[in-house]
Amino acid sequence: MTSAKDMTQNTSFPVAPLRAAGIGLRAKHYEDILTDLPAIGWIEVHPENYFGGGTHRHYLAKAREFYPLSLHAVGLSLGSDKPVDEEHMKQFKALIDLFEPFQISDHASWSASGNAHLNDLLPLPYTKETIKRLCGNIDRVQNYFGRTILIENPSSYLSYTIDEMPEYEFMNDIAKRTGCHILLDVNNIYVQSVNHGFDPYHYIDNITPEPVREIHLAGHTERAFDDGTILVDTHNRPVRDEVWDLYEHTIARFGSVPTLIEWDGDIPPLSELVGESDKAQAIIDRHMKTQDKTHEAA
Amino acid sequence: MKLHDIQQGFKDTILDPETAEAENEAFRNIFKSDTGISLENRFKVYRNNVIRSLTDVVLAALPMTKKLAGEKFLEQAVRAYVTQNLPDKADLTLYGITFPAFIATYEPARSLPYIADLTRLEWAWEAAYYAADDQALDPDELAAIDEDSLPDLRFTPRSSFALIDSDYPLDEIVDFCRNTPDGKFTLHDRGCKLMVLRPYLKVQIHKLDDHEFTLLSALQEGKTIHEAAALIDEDDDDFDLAAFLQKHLIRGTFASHSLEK
Repeated sequence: MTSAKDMTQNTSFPVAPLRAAGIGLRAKHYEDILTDLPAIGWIEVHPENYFGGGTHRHYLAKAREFYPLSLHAVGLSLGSDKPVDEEHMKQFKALIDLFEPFQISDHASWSASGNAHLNDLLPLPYTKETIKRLCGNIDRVQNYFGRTILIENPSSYLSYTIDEMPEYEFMNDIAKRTGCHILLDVNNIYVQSVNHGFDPYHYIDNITPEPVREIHLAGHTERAFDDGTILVDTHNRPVRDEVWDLYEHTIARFGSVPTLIEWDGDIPPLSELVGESDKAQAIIDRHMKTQDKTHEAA
Repeated sequence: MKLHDIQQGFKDTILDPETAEAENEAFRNIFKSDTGISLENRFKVYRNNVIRSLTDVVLAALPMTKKLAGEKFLEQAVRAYVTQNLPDKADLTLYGITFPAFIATYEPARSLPYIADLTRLEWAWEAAYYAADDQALDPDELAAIDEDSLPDLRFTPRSSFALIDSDYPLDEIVDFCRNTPDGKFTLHDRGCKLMVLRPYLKVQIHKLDDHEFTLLSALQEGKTIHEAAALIDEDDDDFDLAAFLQKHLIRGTFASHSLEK
């Protein structure tokens, strides 16, 4: 008789990543990924790009045969002062049923106000009222999907005087209240630390480790103004050295957490993107080895 | 200040930096200005993210219009459209589908009379590209129908199906955009009738003659074969109903049929 575990191992439909580092799959690489089948642990896409039929779903279904998948949403607008759009959840759920992702995520931000969807991840004030609104929407989505979702810390270019707590405390709190997991975007922490003037290492050290189930890395860009420079989370270049350093520190604290390289603008050849994910994998491997040695010594 | 009002004020300030909210002390005071960069410049980043990303979404659907009207011109038109027509949902698959109506009355586009129809064709292409995946009607399914019932047949077109009737030679424009790297386009004085369809993964644009267009329009409206054929002059020798049906069954134009009255 075949046990359930054997069946999982024999399936041609990979369920969980064997390697921690993955890449965001974009339309430009649909053909290349199927030809090269690079040694990456998993792929991630925005579900909103697959709500329609045709080419995109066709290629995602093909790629899904080879790689575990994470669905990373940008459209739930969980932090809006109104309930999550039913139709959006319905379309999202249909994709979950079809592609069986190992992770589902969206952001601690808002995009919709009134009837307008602004198509950006806008910053929330970290107040008790926001916690109530955001957690209400996270509960709604988790109940609708019947599973745990991950919430990502956003990049921001503005912060609020009315904040009642730092962002790390806000993230810990929503995870504790809703049981959701945390998607820690290390580049976003770095970008914010420069834009708002705080210590990014202090931020990482104050995130509760248990709920952290995914890490994002991406490149950012400086935008110069007459009165100073703002770092913008553009996802259009390699991960900066400062962010790799912060990532090393993150892995030392949280261990081997699935890590994704996001690249959305000026997309390079697939090999370059895979090279970035290899860099993340090397950091994880090095850390795991050090940890094994420490255990042996003890 | 309540979250609702903060988000409303944030939205208004992104759309119009000169708006009252941006001048409002109470609203300004909820934001920090800790690293010396002004609130105006910080909002500029968001304004750029929002308008730029939405403009790119609409532009991506209009490669042929971009080639003919010029990138700079079209981008300005799309920006004007975006600021006046923000999406009302996060699913942006068909965001911009009302752009043809906008450009039809857009003053700076008056010298390009064909542009509204061209954008209509490009949006039909885009809608077909993202249409729900469905199957073509299997011609064998029609084999069992007895001959007397054939005039009562109705056909439902595929989800990607669209008809375009234009006073301009859009087929020549498509050919020029796809096959001529650069050079000048000469607009001939004639119209055209087109069908947009995605049988499987690739969107196709087919040129239709007047009869085909009349029949397909009638079938799309839910008319029977008999009712559709009655729209065509019976003395017209060019018209062959059987050949028409065979052609469109092979092309995969229809998704299903029915004999309901």
